[in-house]
Amino acid sequence: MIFRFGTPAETLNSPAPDAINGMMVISAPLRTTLITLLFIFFYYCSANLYSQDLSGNITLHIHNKPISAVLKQITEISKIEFSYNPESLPVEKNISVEIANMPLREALDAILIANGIEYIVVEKHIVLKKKSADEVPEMIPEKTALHRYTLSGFLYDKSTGEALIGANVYVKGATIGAMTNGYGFFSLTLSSGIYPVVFSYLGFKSAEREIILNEDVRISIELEDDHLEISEVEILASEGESDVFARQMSGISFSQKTLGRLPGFGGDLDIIRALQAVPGIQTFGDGSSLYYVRGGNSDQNLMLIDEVPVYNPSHLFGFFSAFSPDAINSVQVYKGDFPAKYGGRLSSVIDIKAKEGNMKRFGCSGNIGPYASNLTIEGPIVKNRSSFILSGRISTLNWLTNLKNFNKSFSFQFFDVNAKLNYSLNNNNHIFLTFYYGLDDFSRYNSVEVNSYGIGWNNLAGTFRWNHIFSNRLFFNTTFNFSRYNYSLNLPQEANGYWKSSIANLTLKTDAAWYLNPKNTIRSGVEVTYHYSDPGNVTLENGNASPDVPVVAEYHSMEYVIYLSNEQQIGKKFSLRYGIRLPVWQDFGPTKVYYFDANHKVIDTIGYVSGEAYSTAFSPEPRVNIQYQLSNVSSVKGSYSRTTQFLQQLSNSTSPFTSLEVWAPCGVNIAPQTADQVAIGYFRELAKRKFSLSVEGYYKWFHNRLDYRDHANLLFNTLIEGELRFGKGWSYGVELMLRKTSGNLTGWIGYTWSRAFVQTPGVNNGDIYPASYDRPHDFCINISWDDKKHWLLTANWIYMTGAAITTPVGFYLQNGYTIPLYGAKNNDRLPDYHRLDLSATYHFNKPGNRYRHSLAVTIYNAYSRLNPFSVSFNKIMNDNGEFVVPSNINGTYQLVPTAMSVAGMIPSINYQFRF
Amino acid sequence: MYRSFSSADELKIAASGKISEFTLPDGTKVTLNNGATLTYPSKFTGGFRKISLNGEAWFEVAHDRAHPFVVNAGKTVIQVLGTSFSVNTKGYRNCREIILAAGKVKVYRDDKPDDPVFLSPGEKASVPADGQPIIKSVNDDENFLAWKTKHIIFSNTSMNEAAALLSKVYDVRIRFSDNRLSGCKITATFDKQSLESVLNVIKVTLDLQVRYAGRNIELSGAGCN
Amino acid sequence: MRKILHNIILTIMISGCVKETVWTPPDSPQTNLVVDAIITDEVKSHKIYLTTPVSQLNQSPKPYTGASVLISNEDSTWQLTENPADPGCYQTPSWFSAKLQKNYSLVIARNDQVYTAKATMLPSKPFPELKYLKNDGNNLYYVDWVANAFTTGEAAMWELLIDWSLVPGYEQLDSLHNHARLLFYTLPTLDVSEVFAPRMETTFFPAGANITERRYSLTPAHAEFIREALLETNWTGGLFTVAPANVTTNMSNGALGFFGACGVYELSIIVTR
Repeated sequence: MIFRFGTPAETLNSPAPDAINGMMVISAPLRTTLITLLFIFFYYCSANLYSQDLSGNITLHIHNKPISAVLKQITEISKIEFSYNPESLPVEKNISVEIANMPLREALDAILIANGIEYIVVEKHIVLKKKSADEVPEMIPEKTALHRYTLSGFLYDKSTGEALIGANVYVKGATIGAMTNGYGFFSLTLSSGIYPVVFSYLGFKSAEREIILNEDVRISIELEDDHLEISEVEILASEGESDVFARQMSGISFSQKTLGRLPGFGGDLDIIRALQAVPGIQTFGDGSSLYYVRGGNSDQNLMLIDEVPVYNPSHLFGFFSAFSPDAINSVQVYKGDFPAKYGGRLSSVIDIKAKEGNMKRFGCSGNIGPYASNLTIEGPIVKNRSSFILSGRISTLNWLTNLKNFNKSFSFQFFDVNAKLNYSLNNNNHIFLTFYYGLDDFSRYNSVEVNSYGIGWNNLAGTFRWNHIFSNRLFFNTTFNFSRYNYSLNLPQEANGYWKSSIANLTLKTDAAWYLNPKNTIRSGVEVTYHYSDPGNVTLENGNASPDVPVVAEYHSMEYVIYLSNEQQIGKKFSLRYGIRLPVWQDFGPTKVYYFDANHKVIDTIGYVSGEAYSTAFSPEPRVNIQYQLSNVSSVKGSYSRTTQFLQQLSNSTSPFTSLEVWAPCGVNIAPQTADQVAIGYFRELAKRKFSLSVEGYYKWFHNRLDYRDHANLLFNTLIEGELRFGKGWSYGVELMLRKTSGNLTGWIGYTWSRAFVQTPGVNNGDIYPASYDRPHDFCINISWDDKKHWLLTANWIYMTGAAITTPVGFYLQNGYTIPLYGAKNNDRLPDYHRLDLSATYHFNKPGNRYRHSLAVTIYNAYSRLNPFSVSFNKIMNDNGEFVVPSNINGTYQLVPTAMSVAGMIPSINYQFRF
Repeated sequence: MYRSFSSADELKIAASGKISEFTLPDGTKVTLNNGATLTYPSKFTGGFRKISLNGEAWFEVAHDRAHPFVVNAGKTVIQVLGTSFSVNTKGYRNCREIILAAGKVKVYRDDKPDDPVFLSPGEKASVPADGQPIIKSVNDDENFLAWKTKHIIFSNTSMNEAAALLSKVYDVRIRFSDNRLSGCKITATFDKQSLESVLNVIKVTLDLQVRYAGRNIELSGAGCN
Repeated sequence: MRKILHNIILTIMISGCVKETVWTPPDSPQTNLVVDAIITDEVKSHKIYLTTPVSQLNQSPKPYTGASVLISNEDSTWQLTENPADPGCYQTPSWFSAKLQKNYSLVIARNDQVYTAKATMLPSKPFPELKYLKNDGNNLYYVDWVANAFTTGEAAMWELLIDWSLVPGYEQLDSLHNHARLLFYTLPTLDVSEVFAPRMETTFFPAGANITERRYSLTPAHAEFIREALLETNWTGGLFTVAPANVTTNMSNGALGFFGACGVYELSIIVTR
């Protein structure tokens, strides 16, 4: 839908009027007619008022006539008016002009510049001036010299006022454009002139405005949801979008719209599950929130929500995300080619921006289901300036816990609450406040011992952010945030005793983006963080227990980061992004540090007092990305990035569930882990932009890779650092993805072939072994069909090679136990993993209604394949047909190899509403 | 515009503060410039359609051969036959100026009806206030209707003239802080633009500075050489 | 429908779905020696079992016969003799007992292969009696508590020998069905897999059964061996698993198993109603 606006009298000192709309709830055929008429009308108007379109073509055949006459003729043809001082310019000079169908700009350059005349566009006139010799004449008023001006502003969702992240702003017909940042802000600096500018975002109707740029312009554009429209118009208009043009590679982004079409669980959108469908990202399997990206371990992924890192993004062992899906605005995934702004983890960054709350009117939405329910309330505090959003979710599993089975019972509950507030002080300042708290509690009762085990975790996070815009080209975001994650285990044998680990951080950082000109965008930032980690300590409250409980030392560290990068366009086809990130890490007391010898025995213990620094690390991280535009539908990209991880999770778990979490920073015994990644990719759009294809290959080297000695004791060990071994790893692979993002049927097919290997002295005899997450084939199909009226059907099928595991090469008997004997590490594979998810959502009424509700039926693992995550050789079958570990060591029993899997089919039916 | 009743069946319309358009009972369209007043009968009777004008107005007379349209501008009478023309009772040196765009008009003093001047399109009649004979000339002022159309053509025009015209068209007072400026020449065409817009263009073209003080505008600059 | 509901319950209970699986072992392992040797401070003939590893699950291990086995400390050396009726079982003289503050060495030699290990002993101590409960369903009894699994002090191994062969109605059963041997541990470490170990079978016994409870003291090395053995046996296959690996040993030259010296304290009870 293209609308043209503006009257000649419009001055640009006042903010431009709001964008298009008006074509709301009208029947389709009438709408088409109206649109056509309006289009014709506007086109006609514009043809008369506005054809000072410097991009048109003209033809001139003039022989020996004065320049003034030539100018008159140009005026007649193109309706452009000239303004000049006839005494200062050689307008009576005779010239001859032979131009055939040349763009007007070029024609003017040809005619005028050759005769010492410069031109500048002012108020839709072309003002001619004598070409100045060397210096700029003093009398030229600063505003109207031959300058560049900046078009900047924000893009919002018209119905809610939420910022549109990653939207496209580009000059029609040119490859000049920009993308909105994480707050919906863009900035484009061009030489003064008149430009047709298009604003577009997937799932919304594009808008076009004619911008007259002879001073800085700040605009605010609201895009309308396109839920009524067939999105073909978007395709034609979206020259500025798509992977082909994106400066980023090795990544994928999801807007709120595309998120809604991804497979969920329990009727809810699930980030981790959605990510699993992206090539290059593999989750562990069912019931797991652990994911592995390009051969990196599960602790090498950073998940940020509103700029705060989240440590355990799941509830119920990975079946649910840690935050209500209703509250998400956009998700940006980086598997490589990390912008200099991100660091601290080696393998991936998932940057999630949550919604800020409807700026226009109050809204409420919710989802009621058999396992969990959530409710979100949002609305404006001051219309169009300030809003809030409050969302909460609680588990409703109690009906299940009441069912007892085989003398076993459990209780599980979780809840989370998310509260946000934002306020726009003025056009250049906006502040945001976020608060998050989530809790999980799982208790299990064992028949042999009456007391229960219990584990629980909670996440607390808060952020304060301040956006500040200087001079339309400089965007600052300052964040102050804190995050704390606790994980605790109840020890029933010690009455009221518990083990608890904790990790927390406090950060102050500023990120600045300087949109110098369309060819250069400079980003820079500074970050200071205080990290705290308690790897796990036991607290006993029982008087009978031994008083000398060993204390595992806590860690305190400071991290200082500065980064600088530039995105540069070179010529029409090349673009380059280069930058460097410089982090410094320093550990402090109060703590006790153990020094180990080559045999991992403690040789020294040193205590440090509060504030005393004892270990400093510095690891520069260069980042480069090159892109070459082969055509306007295809491009080639290459990148190199180095990343450092100072904080690692110590876990030798092979279980899908997040095992008890222990985090430790680098220090005396742990060197920072680093990774180098090179990637090369080819991107192409097919069939008139209906499909996009991407092929990407990568190779990654890991240095100082963390590994563990056999049977490492990580849970409650003062000498925990002595259990660690360091080596190297490398991974490589090819990822293919074919994606369709428009029309009723959307989805993608992805295939990844990848390998990941490890070599650690002291583990597996120093031989190379495949990582447990080395899964050579990973195939995924995701299809969704949306008739845009009532039905949304999605299907998702995932196939992965089974995880690498170590299986015995023999057994031996010891004191009655049958102990497995192993050969090489990870010598075997679990059965291949595959799973089908189906979901059908029926919307009771059409979009556009105030109260919208729908019923969603989802089936997770539709053909109920039990995908095993572990194999063991220690169980027998008892008289009831169950598999148990034998207790009678003297009996003769037949051990049976058994495989554990998490979930068969899990159906769910959910009622969702929104008003 | 306001309308008042001067006598039983005579109506008066005046444009105060802005330019006003009005349609007379016979269908004639009148555009009154700021400050002009026009008097007309509520119903045209008799062989002529007679109205009186004081000030500046533009007429698009409804065609009616049987009833010629007559404008009394003070002592000047303009007789019209289906035409478009402009009348200004306060022209240069207080002349009454009649400029014809289309059709044909007959202009004569009311006390000398036998001494008329006939105008053809593009011609101008100037009726001096002091009784001198009516002067007929070719209208060389392209901008005579600029006050209504906001279409201004400067063609090698001196800034003096340009300033005067702009003052008239936009109802402001434009002065020069420096006499050097008044001799600058400019070629430009403006179509329905705001004053600020026009001045922006002129500002850049001639390297001027513009200072606004309510309705008074001061132009300053280095001048042209 | 029941099956689906059953499935739901099982899965959401996060006990996981366990089912039998088919596993084919690779080629047979290198022949090696497995040492199962514990000497205690009791005065009796201590038995040491030497076997070889097997390649199949449930396969009976072959005894390691014909080896020359010696135990020595600073003071003397004892030769162990193989029991002809039980090949692979080597016994100490009946007056042998391990003493505190002595370093014991085990030497096993056969052909030109020599395997050695060292052990010391910590004293055992008295302990509270175990607790048992009655199961109303079958009118039998089961062990409810033996000792705390976690300690910040010394590690210990608990052996329960339950004998109900003299209880009326059970005399006719063969020895395997009216005896039971249960093992429990108190360790100075905590492991995730321990906390969430898979379900263990319950051993039932009638009233009148005789339970002998023995506490073995464990040195730190012995406790670590047991911890790793449990990680590979009792504690694996639960919700939280760790990467499997070979259990440590204090035997040299590639032999497996452990040579330990333990102080023992024993008490006996009769199960009463």
